[in-house]
Amino acid sequence: MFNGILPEIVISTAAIFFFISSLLDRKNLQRWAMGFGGVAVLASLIGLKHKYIFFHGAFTVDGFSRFFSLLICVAYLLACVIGGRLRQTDDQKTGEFYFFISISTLGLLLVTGATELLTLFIGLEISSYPLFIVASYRKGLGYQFESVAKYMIFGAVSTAFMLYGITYLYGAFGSTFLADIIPAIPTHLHDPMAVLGVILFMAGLLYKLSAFPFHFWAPDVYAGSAAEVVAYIAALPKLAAVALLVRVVSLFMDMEGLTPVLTILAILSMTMGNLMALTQTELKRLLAYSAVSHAGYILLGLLAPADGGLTASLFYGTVYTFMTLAAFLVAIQVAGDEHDIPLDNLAGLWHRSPVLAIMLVITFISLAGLPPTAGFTGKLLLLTAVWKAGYFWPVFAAVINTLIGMFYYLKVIKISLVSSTDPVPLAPPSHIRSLALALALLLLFLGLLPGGVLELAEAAIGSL
Amino acid sequence: MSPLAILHPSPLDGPYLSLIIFLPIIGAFLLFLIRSDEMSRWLALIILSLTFLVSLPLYSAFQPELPGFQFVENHVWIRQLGLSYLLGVDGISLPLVLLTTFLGPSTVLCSWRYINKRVREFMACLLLTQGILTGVFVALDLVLFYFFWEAMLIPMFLIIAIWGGPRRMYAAIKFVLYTLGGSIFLLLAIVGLYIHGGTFSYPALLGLDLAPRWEFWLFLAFLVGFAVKIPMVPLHTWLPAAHVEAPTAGSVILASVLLKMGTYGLLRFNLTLTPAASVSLAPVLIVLSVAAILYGGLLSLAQQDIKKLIAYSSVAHMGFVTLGIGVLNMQGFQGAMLQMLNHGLTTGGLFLLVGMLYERTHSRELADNAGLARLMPGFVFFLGLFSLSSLAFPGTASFVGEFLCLSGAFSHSLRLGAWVIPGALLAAAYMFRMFIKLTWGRGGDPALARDIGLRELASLLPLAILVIVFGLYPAPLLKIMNPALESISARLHGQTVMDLSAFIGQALPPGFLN
Repeated sequence: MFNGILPEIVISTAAIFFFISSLLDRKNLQRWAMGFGGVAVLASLIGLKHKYIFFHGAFTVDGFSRFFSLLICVAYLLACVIGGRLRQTDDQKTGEFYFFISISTLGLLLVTGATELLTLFIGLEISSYPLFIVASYRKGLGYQFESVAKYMIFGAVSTAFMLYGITYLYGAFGSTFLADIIPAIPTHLHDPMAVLGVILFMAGLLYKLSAFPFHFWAPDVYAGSAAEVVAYIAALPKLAAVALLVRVVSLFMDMEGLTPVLTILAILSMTMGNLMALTQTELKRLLAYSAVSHAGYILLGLLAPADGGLTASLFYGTVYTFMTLAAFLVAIQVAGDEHDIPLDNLAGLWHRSPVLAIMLVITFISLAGLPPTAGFTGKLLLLTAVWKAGYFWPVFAAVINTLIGMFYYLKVIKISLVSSTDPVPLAPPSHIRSLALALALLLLFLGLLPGGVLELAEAAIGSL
Repeated sequence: MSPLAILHPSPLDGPYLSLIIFLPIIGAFLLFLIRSDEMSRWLALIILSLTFLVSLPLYSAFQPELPGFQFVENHVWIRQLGLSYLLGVDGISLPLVLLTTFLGPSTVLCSWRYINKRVREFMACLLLTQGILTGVFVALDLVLFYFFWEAMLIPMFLIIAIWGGPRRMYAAIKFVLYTLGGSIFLLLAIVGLYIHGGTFSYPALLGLDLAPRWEFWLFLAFLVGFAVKIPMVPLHTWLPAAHVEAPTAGSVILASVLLKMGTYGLLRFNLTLTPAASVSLAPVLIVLSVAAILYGGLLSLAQQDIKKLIAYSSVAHMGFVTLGIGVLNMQGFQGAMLQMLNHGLTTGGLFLLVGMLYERTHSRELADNAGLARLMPGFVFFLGLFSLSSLAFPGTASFVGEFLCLSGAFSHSLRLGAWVIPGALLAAAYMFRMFIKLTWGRGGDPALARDIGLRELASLLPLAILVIVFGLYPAPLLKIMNPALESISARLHGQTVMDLSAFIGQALPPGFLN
């Protein structure tokens, strides 16, 4: 029984440990965080094959949730490693920082396994509240409070939508357990209440995914909070959102009116994100708008649940998490003491740290979706699946967006390659350099030989 | 089954084509183990020479009379998408592969002194482009083809952006964005074919029976993708910028091999996968080709910068290639193929010469480089040879190709021939103008103008020899390519011309055409 929730146990232990450490005012907690992260990854590997049902079917441990808890644990570990010494965060709050992100991770783990709508809602809230707090942990300044306010208000509004949607779904189906809802779906395909319920329910997910029109928090939070915190916010909640979209929303895709809504949201998200990103001169803001456009790509896959679209979304979400972490690895390294990380901070990166420059170039090529990187393979999977399901115009929009995206991704690559006038030497610690190299190789590997990961993703989808 | 779809395993032991692709790519990574600049130059030279030697048995073991593809390698790559690692050569791709490997050592030699910062990285980029370009010509899985096609952007972007001239960033970004703008349509076409055929494998897709409407749109999507690369007027404006800013080796690769990716794609994919649309839309190709020949020629005539002059002459020459493809007869195809190879040798040679001149006088202006006959007789000998070949003087390589293209145009229609003939005259005008301005006149600093050295001779001589050999005796080339071209021709034979107004009408709002 406990085999199934080993990662949850490890992360809870970590949370308790960091809570006590925060009271004792201990330093050097990063090692502990990395240690817990490593153990959590191992624990999720052990539990990979188990299938258990908890709380009368409200929480299920199956291949799907284990796949995501493995990814979330890996991302947790990576976020702890690239955070380094938390230079941008408040020195006094190191213990609290790790405590809150551990709690948030626990919430995400709960979300991936939730098969009951209220459990799912609670999981999402557990993962959100700690982030509202850590988003304000920034040394000096005061801007971060504005961004936290935005983050919280948008979060509250979108979860209110979501809760409202859940009540509609309960009204339509008479239950909040997926096990009861699934068999009843065919009779509710034209039920306006159920459709409205799903659309409202999606609001909370779109917020987590920072998809249009719930993306307005992203640029401000990305820019306002400490880079170490944003690395976490940008990567992990997205994974849970993908898991939920695939697990819950894909069930309802046969419903009348849902596909057009999703199509329009996906296209708008891709296009708006890309267009807004074009003029950005601040790295984190640029990444925020790029996140909006990538959320659109992830949504596309849901249009084709029968043609491999779910596997494609899952793969793309996975790849996107690694690309984001890789981009923030560099962002954290080049961050100065000022409020923003202007793109000019990347100037001459090639001279200052060749490893970081190579990784940054590969990451941005992958974000742009060019071969031979994982971003391209993910996009190809999405496009073939969506077109196969008969949607040409979303595919066309996605392809045009690839071109628009290229303008600003190329801008970042360009800045990191040109020499700067006074190159400030950059000496990332050796474990950061090896991680950078590993992430670059991973993005190439997932681009060239994605077969193994795709099989895992297919198995995860199969176990739904 | 189409004769094009037959696959023959390699008569030689081992994965031969993979070796030619991956030898330079692995070499590129090996370079990073080396610290010294001099050593990395030598290592790059050795690897590219070795690659050329390794590619030679392809020629000797190739059996032109066999239909379909030879030296085939086929492995499952990504099962979920039905992708395979499918390589093979036929009479169309083999000469291009050999051209690529043949030019490799010359590109290293011409960068020997020209590149003196970040030498190791430059050589790595050269090796990468070489491997990737070979991959483009031998890939028979459409996604694999696209992989190589796009992957080529990265090292080429770096070559222009890091080692280029003063406006290198502008040129490099323009190059990438133009190519990407075209290749998103290529990607759409590839995915579109997959939606209908359920596979990405080129030989399997040949058996596909597409609806005319689909053929029409797929042809156009492929055409846009390839037209940017060729480049066809009006999508050519990236080329002069890229050529002028790129270092010599970059220009040579661009002109000699990279542009051929586009015309290769037209021959390989447009004509065989969408034959009915090709027959119907060939006039579009012809009109654009004539425009390229005349417009490119006129622009070339007006240039003061030697590199720009040659860049615009490339637009005109590639116009002859697309013309040969567009007339859809055997002479045209043969002419197009020969012109692709000869343009590779001739223009490659001219760019090598311009690079040498620039190393000496640090100027590419015609006016700054006058009176070379007196100062650098050896240089002028090669300049004369490549210029003559460029204007298709009888006895040089380009003559045969251009003649066949022209005779293809004439046998298509007399009027078309009349349109193209001024293009051939223009070629003579701009090439002689350049040659005369550089050779005679007063000027030039004798101290700067040393004659070409041994290393430079080594980079030029192989090209010069081939220019003369192919000019006098093109038979071996024709023997290799004829069967493949005939099977393309046979595929086009009997295709009926589609009613285009129907498709265009569907795409436009009702009443638009009235």
